[in-house]
Amino acid sequence: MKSPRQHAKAAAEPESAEADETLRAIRSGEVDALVVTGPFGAQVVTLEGAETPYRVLIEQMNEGAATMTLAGAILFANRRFTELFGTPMERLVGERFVSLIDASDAAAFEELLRIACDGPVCGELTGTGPGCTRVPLKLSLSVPSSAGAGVVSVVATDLGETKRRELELRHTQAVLEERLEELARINADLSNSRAAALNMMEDAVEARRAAVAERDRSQHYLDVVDVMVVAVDVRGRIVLANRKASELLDRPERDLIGRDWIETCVPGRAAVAAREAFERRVGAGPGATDYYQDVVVTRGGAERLIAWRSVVLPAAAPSSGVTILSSGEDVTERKSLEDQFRQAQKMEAVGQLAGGIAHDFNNILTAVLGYSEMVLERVDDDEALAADVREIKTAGERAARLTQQLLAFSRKQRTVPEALGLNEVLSSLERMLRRLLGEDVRLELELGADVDRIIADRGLFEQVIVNLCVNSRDAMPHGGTLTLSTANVTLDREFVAQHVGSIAGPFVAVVAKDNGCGMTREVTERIFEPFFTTKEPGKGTGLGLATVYGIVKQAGGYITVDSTPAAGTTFTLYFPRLPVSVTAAHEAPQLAAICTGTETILVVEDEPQVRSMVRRVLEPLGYRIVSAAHGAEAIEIAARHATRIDLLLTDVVMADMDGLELAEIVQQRHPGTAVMFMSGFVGHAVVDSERLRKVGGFLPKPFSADTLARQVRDQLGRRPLRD
Amino acid sequence: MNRKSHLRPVPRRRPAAWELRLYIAGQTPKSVAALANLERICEQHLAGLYRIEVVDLLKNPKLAAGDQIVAIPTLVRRLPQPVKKIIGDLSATERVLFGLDLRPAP
Repeated sequence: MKSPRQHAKAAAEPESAEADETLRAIRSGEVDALVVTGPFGAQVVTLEGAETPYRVLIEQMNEGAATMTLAGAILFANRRFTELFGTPMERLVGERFVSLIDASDAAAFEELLRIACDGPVCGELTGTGPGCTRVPLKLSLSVPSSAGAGVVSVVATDLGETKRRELELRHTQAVLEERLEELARINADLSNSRAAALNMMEDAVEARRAAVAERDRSQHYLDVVDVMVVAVDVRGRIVLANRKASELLDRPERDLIGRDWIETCVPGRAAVAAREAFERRVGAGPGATDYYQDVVVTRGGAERLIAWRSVVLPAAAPSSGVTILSSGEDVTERKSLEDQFRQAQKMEAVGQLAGGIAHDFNNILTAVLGYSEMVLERVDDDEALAADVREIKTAGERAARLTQQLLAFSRKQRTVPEALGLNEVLSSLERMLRRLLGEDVRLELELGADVDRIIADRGLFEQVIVNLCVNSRDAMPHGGTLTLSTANVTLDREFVAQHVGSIAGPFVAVVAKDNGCGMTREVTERIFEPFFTTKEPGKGTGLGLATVYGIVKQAGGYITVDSTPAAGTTFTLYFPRLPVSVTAAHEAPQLAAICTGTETILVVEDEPQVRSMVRRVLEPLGYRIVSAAHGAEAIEIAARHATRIDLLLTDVVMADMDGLELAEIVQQRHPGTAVMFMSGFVGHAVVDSERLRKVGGFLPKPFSADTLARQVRDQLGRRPLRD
Repeated sequence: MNRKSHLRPVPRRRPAAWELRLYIAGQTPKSVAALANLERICEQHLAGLYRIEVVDLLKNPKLAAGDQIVAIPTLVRRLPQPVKKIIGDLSATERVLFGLDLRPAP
């Protein structure tokens, strides 16, 4: 492929050679006519030699003949003319014609000259002959229409000759006038145009050659740079636009040149500000450089964000009226990525905050729920008190569900991942979803064929779908259609490049598309933030979509939202596809039927309420409880405890050490000690539940007394048999 | 159209391989000379293989546009390809032969 520059060069070479050849031929006299292209098209001008017969005729004729400018300056005169006025040719050329006329007739001559511009005219005047004699003259003036230079032909006849001569002359004059008009035209063309034509051609050839070279260079630079280059004149009209500008604006160059930049390429809402900025830049004077970002609009109406550098050129800039030269880079994608990145960082920070709060809440709720249960067991005979305590318990449970949602958002929720066929899950949810959506919203399921399975917690996935449906329902108060669809998709590098946090590979896409009220861009950007809600106070917690976000992220997925106000919203969820060979490994928990025991349990927990709740649940069941507030105390107890410790029940995150470290130390001293961890953090970096499960059991907070009792029994039952 | 074709005798066994067009401006001396020179050169070097078309731009200046003629006389070799132009009265025979690709560079 040839570059545009090479094309231009290849095209210019024969032209240049031909121009050289033409000049050579003209100089060497091999050419005696030229084609001159003017405003009225091509015209053939014959050169010296061709005119000879006419020149001879003019020189030999018995009338004075001359040409002059419209202003009356003599350009040429024949022999007879010089005799008539007794002035040699060299003095006549450039002389004012009126100076040859008697002063009394000067005004009449000027009048004649004026009329001649509209058409041929004759007049009788008195001229100044040799030796200041008065010579009666008849002057015929005409302006040949073809003589663009504005030349007046004059034929001067001496009326002082005999009557016969006069009649004769008059007779021939009519004929001559006709011929002269033609002659004068040719004469004018020749005397004025020949030199001009030659110069013009030489100039044109030179200019052309220089222009081709200049165009080559400029075009080359303009086309290879990867920024758009636009030049505008003082009124803001486009004078130049390079290839990149054409591509970006989706307009051919010819569709840009001559147009008003702001009217053509700036969105209407930004036009006034853009015009002001333009005026300010022009006003700043030559050399002023400006850096700024601006939105441009393409022919198709798409908007792009451009980072511009513009410079005001000096008024005397040779490049025809260019006032501001701007180069701009498309930063739309970069800006979008920066925004996404900031948003992702914000979500991460909010997630950590929410996770921390939920963790503290879980500790408190563990105490609230545990004590509530214990009180309930004792107040059998006082129904009023029992009812009150049940209220406390119910409130505690509600609070626990709320913290659960926060944990879901912050991806610290415990999950039971299994291989899920999403089509099957959605089908089984269908009836419930229809009830949820109500009669006004139509639910359509478009389940793709052969959609692969994913690894996810079924309950959490169902919660995602329910939350999305609730969101869509609320967006369609007057009814509408919600479409849930599934399909296998592959996220490619292009997608990943445009979506911060996504990774390439095979995914199952779940799309929830409604035709509800949609959201503005500002709302869309914050939609996944916890406690962000557009609903009126009391109507929503602002956790629904935050939960969706957290669950999808925890499952290794990715979520996008696309919304147009008044048109609807589409959420697209991507879950990593499960390789077909992997099968579900979902274990059903084995629960011990009897929860009592006599073993010794070391409880390590920095929260006194939780510690004491555990003791009060387990001691009545027959266990021996030894408790410690932190790791160091636990180690000390383990070291001096002579009898064996059957179970270490420990918090995972503690001030001095983590539960895993503690478990190792205790097991060194008391081999065979079972371990059970308690934690409100799941799926967090510091709480690697997989590692914990290799060492012992895991009890997520908050837990009820019943769960605690059963899990402790279960964990003790799993101990390896010992001597 | 103000073109007139001077069809030279062409032997039937071969088609005219050379198509030449001469642009002139009436009967100017150089125009007359160019036609005479061209006919002489063709007879000597391309006998039976050429056709000359004469275009008088004085009669119809618009025809100059087609071959982008600026100086007269100009000879245009239309066939064989590529199109070539020789400007002037064709009096320098060697230059003409070179221009027509009938001779190596002088």
